Amino acid sequence: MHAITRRTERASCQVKRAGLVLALCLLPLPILFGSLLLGRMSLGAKEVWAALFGGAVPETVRALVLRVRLPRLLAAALVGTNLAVSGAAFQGIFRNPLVESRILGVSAGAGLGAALAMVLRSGPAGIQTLAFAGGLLAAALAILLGTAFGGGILVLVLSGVLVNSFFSSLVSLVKYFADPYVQLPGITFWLMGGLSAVRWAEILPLALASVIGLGGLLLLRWRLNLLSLSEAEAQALGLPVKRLRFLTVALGTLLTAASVSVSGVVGWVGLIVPHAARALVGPDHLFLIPASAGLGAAVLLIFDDIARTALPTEIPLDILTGLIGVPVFFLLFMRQIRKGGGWR
Amino acid sequence: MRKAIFGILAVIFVWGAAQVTVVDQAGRKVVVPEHPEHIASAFGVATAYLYPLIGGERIVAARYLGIPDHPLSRAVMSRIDPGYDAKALGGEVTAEELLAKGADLVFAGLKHQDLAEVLTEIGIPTILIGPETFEAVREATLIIGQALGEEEKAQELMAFYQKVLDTVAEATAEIPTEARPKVLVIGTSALRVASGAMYQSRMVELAGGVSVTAGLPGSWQNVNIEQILIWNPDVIVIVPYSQVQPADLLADPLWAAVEAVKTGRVYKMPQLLFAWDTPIPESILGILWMAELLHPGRVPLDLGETIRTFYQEFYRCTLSPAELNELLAR
Repeated sequence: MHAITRRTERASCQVKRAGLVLALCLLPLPILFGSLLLGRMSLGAKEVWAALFGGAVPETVRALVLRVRLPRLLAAALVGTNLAVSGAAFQGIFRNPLVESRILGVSAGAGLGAALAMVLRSGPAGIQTLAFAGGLLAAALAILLGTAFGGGILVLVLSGVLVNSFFSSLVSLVKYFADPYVQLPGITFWLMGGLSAVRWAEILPLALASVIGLGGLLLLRWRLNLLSLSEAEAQALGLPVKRLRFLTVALGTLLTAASVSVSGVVGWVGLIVPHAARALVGPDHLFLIPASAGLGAAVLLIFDDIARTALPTEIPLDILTGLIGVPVFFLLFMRQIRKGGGWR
Repeated sequence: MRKAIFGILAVIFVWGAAQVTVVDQAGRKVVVPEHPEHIASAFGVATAYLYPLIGGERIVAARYLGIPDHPLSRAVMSRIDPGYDAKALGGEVTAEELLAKGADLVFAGLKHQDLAEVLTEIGIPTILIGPETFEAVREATLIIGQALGEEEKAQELMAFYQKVLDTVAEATAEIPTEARPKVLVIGTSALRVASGAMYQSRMVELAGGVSVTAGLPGSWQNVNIEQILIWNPDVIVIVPYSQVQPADLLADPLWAAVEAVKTGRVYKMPQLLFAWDTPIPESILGILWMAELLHPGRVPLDLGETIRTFYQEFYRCTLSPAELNELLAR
């Protein structure tokens, strides 16, 4: 009798949680439509609607909605989702709450690629390509180093830190020798993150990488719970621990590299959003991964709304995520510690 | 023996007394040797003041503010100072580097306060400039002229500057507001614009335009395309050292709704040596070019002739008609 009540209680709790996850996943949609109405130019809901669905509007309005706002908002949503999901996955497999999507040096590597592309004057496509390649290269180096040292979780984190510092120094080196008037401002601006120059051409590769990375991690999320057990326990359950971990790292890296190659360096989303999602739906990756996805998109959409509308000038995203993200992280952390749970 | 040493010291002291004291644009009092022979510039803007006043001979090291990597510019610069390539300073300029080059007088920018302190301690007088208005360009020229013992040349240079400035101002003064085109000055990338506080906006206003960024503070600012659509400039001027070309904007569907793009009034400022949009004496050519662009034929000065005279008088460099044409056609 007692056991049955407990089971139904648990089941209803799961249902509630699934409902919350579904709500979080749908959350970006209204925000995205709301954001379409926001911008330096004031457009009414009717005009935006007409522009979206082929109604009669001036060509400027149509271009503004379809060519400026829509790709930018999609980029914000994708980047937010990708960073949050890769952050959640990394926190899980590294069993470390301080880990985030940039842990393997992806941002620093992407920064180096972008800086080089700007020095070589290779245009937006070149910046995106080289930044993506740089991000993957940095993560590959970190993984290789980690494997060379035995492949444990701690060594992987350590080699990520090493690669991060090394690539950051390379970025500084490029900045130091870049033309201070012509190239340096662009590099500095890129490194602070922003979506002001996003176009459809950049969305397509980002979307492709997102589908692969997100799809993979969503399928893997059943196993992520087991991976975040201790290694011995997971192996005892008959899991190919190393292979699964590698696959997770590879997918997370793909997501992060594809994102930062479009947005530039955007911090904190990959750290805070997974924690916020965990506070809402609990540590089970089955729920945590999709919840992080929805929340990440919503959060970055809102940050980007502020970035592009608050002032006549663009506010770099990394400044906003840092200024708002750090206090939020602090509050979450305090709450969690007071509850005595989670992160020990 | 002792007496002899004192005697020598006394002579040095008396010699040393033949010095000039100037107050630089940071408000610092700087004591300068009377005949500095080894001059260095740690600031590209300052370099653009040195060449018209003393040519290249006494310059031992300098930053060259984006002398374009263009055959014409390189050729002309080599005529003016054949060794200029070897003098170029890159990266962050350090005191030791300047010491190694044997500099006995250094010019630098307001952002180089720390460098100036170190240099002063080593005993190399350092003069800081930071012009951002027409008045400050004049002041900087006179300070540098005084420090180099070239007051007369500095006066001549400023007389030329002032004459063109006044002629343009007089010609554009009566233009009613509605006949003044709205102008946007674009920097190194298409979405990076010159703020209202910058020299570029002063140039636009003097040339008979309205700077659309008038309310924007600070230096170069990053904006998004929506803000540019709100400003909706009639004319877009791209700075000469930008990677952006007029064709890029004219072909861009996002920019298609901007008035300047619709009417094809997107221009790149020409550049021969130092950039005409920066607060330097040479900018007077940029001002006249802009006035001609916004109100053709209104200023009673010939652009080509003024350019030719400027480089002839202050760089001792004769531009051939073909070179002049190439410069203005670029």
